[in-house]
Amino acid sequence: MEGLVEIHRGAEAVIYKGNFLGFKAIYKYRPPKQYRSEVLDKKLRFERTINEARIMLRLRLSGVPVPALLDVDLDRGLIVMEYIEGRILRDYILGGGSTDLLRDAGRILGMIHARGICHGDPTISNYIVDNRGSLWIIDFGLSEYSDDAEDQAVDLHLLYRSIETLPLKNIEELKEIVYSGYSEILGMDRAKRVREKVREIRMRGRYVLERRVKAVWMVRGGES
Amino acid sequence: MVRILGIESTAHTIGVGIAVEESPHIVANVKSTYIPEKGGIHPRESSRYLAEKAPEVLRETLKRAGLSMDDIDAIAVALGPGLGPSLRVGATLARALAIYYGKPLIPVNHAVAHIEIGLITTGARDPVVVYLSGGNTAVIAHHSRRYRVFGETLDIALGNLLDTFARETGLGPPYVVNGIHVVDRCAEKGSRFVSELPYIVKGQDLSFAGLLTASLRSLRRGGSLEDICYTLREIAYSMVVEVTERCISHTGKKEILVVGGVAASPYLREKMEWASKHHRASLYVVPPEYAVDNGAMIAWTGLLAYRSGVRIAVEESYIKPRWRVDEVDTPWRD
Repeated sequence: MEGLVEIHRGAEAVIYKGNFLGFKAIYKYRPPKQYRSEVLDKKLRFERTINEARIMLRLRLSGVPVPALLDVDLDRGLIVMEYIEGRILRDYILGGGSTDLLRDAGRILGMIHARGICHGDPTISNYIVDNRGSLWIIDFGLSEYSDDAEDQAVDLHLLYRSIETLPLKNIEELKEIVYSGYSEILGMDRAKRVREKVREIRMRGRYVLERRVKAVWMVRGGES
Repeated sequence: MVRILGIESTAHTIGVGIAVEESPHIVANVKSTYIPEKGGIHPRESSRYLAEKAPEVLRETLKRAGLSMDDIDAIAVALGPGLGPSLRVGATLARALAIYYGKPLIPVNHAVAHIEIGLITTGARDPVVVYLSGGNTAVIAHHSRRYRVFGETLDIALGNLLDTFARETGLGPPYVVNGIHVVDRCAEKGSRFVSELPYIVKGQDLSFAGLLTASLRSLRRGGSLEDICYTLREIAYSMVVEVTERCISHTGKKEILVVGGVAASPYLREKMEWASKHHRASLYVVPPEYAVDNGAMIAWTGLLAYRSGVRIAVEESYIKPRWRVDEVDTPWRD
């Protein structure tokens, strides 16, 4: 890990830029976290590293714009991948870049879902606009294999929510642009089902005004 | 000199406080909390208790401050979020005082008040706020005129998880003894990590309901209570810290402020300290007196709102049991 330059300190991983066999590369390293018990820490780091590598490979091989996988070191919690030169979508939009790329963001999420995978954290900070103006998606640290509309809806909800944090006026319009790309890939019916689920998930949030009131009966003392 | 009287009664605590502009801002802070002999908080029983104690708490607050109602400029009241029956007690008291003494009424959001009292008592300026209590688990940051929720629980709150687990296993009530939660206390005797308990973070949101169910099931199947408490605590706190880390890296803020009734946990604090160092951020934890529900935080937030011209007519002062923190404009922060 010599000659690496730290470029980002994420929530769970530190991202370094460096070289790998002559390629510009990103080193994604999950350092141990002393605040977690050792068993939990090891388990989370190992599981997340192997899972992330597998999913990146699978998506890359099926034509989704994700960085190419170069190397994996499970014991150290390290993934080495292709370096995508460009800007984070959030910064790109805040810098006045075209919001049309949000359609591609929706398309890419649709492609991932069509392959039976959920990203887990598809915020606009996890898309990169490369120097030719093409969009890439990164950070599969929370991704999983799932065909569940609920998980897909959480993805779409997270993407929407990251857009809602933008200090812009036309938020609803931007979300519609995302949805148009998403439904283009998944088809209207499937996309509609996911969008309906997004609404449901939001209503589950605490203290949401329109949340439906429901009665729940708990049976106590029964055998499981 | 502006003096604001604040009334809190959103759940199981009736609190009255008085805030002024001059440091240290809080002149008096008196509260009384309903603690059930068994079970959880029954809204009707709780509100009955609050109504019974309200006059006494109000009188004691004025007495400690050495003031009479004539010295007060306005009445601030927590209109939500919270339990309807409890909210009505504080709202009724506040409306009556406002009408009888001819004082303006100021609506205060309970969650915003937890944040504001945290800021003024710790000196944090623009932090990522971790709001943890019996009914709330949210990671919040201020952005363009409002406190925005960056991540929150998708089902039950952290305090709710700990209390329900304690209740179902007979560890509580009371749930907190000498400032330490009974689950935290029991966890001290555990050491083995129970591997079948789930750790669920979805992006910036988290979920505790599955952890509660799995913990109870593990216990029914003969697991050790101490080990399960230890694992439950490890997982739940680590999840909160992870979401906090995500918010820090998303917003680039350099401070973390922990507020709410569960803020006092020394185990959580230990984990937060590590995370704040790792992200080169400063950690602030609200002092215990202001971590739990109290009237001073309503008074102080009422004072900020009063200075910004926020008022509500008595006939419009409905309680709002589901009033979200991100529905409140914060003109005093602009």
